Amino acid sequence: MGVKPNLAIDFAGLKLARPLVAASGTFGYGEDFVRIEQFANEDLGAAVLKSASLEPRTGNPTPRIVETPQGILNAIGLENPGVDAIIRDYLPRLSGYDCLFIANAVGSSADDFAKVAEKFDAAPNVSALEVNISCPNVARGTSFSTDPALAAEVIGAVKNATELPVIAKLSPESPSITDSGQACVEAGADALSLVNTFKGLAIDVRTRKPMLGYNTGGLSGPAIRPLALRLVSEVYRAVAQPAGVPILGYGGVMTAQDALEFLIAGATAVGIGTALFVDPLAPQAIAAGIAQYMQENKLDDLSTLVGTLQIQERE
Amino acid sequence: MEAPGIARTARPGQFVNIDCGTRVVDHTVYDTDAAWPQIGSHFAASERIFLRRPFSVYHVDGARIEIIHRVIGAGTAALSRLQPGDTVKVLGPLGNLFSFSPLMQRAVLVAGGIGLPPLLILAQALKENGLHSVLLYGAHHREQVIDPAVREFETLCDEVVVTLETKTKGYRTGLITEPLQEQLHTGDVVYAVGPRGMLRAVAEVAGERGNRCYLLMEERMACGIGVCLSCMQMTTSGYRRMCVDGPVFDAREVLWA
Ligand SMILES: Cc1cc2nc3c(=O)[nH]c(=O)nc-3n(C[C@H](O)[C@H](O)[C@H](O)COP(=O)(O)OP(=O)(O)OC[C@H]3O[C@@H](n4cnc5c(N)ncnc54)[C@H](O)[C@@H]3O)c2cc1C
Ligand SMILES: Cc1cc2nc3c(=O)[nH]c(=O)nc-3n(C[C@H](O)[C@H](O)[C@H](O)COP(=O)(O)O)c2cc1C
Ligand code: FES
Repeated sequence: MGVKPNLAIDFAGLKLARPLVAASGTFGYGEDFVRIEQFANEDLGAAVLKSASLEPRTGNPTPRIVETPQGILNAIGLENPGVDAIIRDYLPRLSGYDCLFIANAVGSSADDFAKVAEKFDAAPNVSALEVNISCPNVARGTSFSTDPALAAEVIGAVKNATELPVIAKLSPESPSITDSGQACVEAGADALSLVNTFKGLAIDVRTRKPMLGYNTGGLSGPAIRPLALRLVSEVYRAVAQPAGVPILGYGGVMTAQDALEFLIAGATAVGIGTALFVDPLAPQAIAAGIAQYMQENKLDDLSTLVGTLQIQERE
Repeated sequence: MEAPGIARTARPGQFVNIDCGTRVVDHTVYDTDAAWPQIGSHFAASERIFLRRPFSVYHVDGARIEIIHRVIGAGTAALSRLQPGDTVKVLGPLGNLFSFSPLMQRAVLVAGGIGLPPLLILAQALKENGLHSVLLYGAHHREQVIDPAVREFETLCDEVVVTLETKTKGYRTGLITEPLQEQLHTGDVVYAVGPRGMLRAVAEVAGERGNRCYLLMEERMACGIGVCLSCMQMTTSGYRRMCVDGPVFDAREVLWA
């Protein structure tokens, strides 16, 4: 072929130069990685900023992180300076990048979420809004996602407050993630993202105390990849494909192979979170690997790969 | 480690995050007839060490940087098995700096245990600026004392005092705060690195005596560049990130939990 494969993809109306998106909480407010030599924001199609709440939040007591087999448990507790400060101090600086920026909103009621959404609607350099209805590290954080009626209420309120494309971020802990996803789509979500972290526990056997200051934490990294992949595949077939709504898939993506798995399972774009801590240059390597795969498989449009999982017939 | 970019820019107080590579867990083969593996035995396992580990820059020599580390767990054990010529991924230099002023009287460097390494390039910088320093170095027992490093400090500092907590011939016994009380004069600035309990005790002494005091602190880290908000230290201005706003803090700002 000789020509460089085109990794561009359309995601809920956003033109992503690459199908790769930095995950909320692992990328700061957009400019922290650019001081690393060889890293460029353009290695990503988009980056989701750390969750923003209406009022500043101080977060949870330390320790906030513990390494577990092939992953980390975190209990940051949504520390952030509040939506006003984020819009004032960080967003104006984010012009001039080819990578798009997606804001992420969190709240304690539908009204709260809507107020944050309204502020981002008027803010510069934001291309879409991810709605975090799935944080395991604050009281009632996941309940918005696990209860389809509540999820619909939040997404409906947010849709009324902004014209930005709205991405509903789902918890893997929902009794039925497809019901929650369906409720979000019916309430107007332009895209679904999954998964947020799984709630977990690590114990110090000497003190018999939890390793984290918040007791429990959210598990991310390769440890959750097969679990996340299964959920993406189910939500794709039951909700996203029928409704024509794209999925942003997260869960332990470290390599191009991992990202390809998510695309084949039904994700239109793939999130990279914890991997950025291990290797800040992972997005470059992943993009290169996807390009190589496209060449080898004679694909010139990445969207033709999305959701091509060949499910085997079962009795 | 050959790391020209880091060697060129690293300043006293800064650290690097090292990818310690593959963890090879030493395993005792367990009795395959037993229903469960016996307590104390391990499953054979080889797994990638996940997060990077932070280490202070000890010495810079041309394009090379050196660290000194102790073996704590899997990451530091893997590091100790590296051979000359092996490649490791290193991110740095990270963190803020030990600040010093040409107007200050004298620097009192206080190190506890493995807290010694980060003070070397500070002692060098002080000397280059014509400033005087003393080193007070406390360790638990004789084997913990890093002899080659002590010799380096002897060429840089006016005086080096080593105290051990375990009674040992030829060494002063006791806690590091005792020589600190004796040595501290008006106008001295204290720079301390070591376990939290020691830092707190040193900060108290410096506070009572009215001396400026900087502490290099440690907390669990994930990203090392300020995005994950896991390495927090509570201060008079709220939670601060150890990896970007620290690891060096003015002792007056630190709130001890
Ligand atoms: C700024 C800074 C500078 C440091 N400089 C040095 C140095 O020069 N020499 C040296 O020997 N050690 C230094 N340490 C401590 C060193 O990082 C830990 O000993 C090391 O991370 C232990 O890893 P492990 O896998 O062997 O241990 P494990 O206990 O198995 O590690 C498990 C997890 O806990 C973290 N962890 C364990 N102990 C510490 C600690 N004291 N501080 C922060 N995280 C920890 C690890 O990074 C890892 O994520 C420094 C720490 C910090 C924060
Ligand atoms: C340290 C840390 C902080 C996070 N903070 C947020 C957050 O503020 N908002 C959010 O929606 N998700 C947050 N997440 C979840 C990630 O965005 C992502 O959904 C999850 O980590 C799974 O992807 P990964 O395995 O690639 O990390 C956080 C994850 C980590 C590890
Ligand atoms: S280690 Fe991530 S903010 Fe400090």
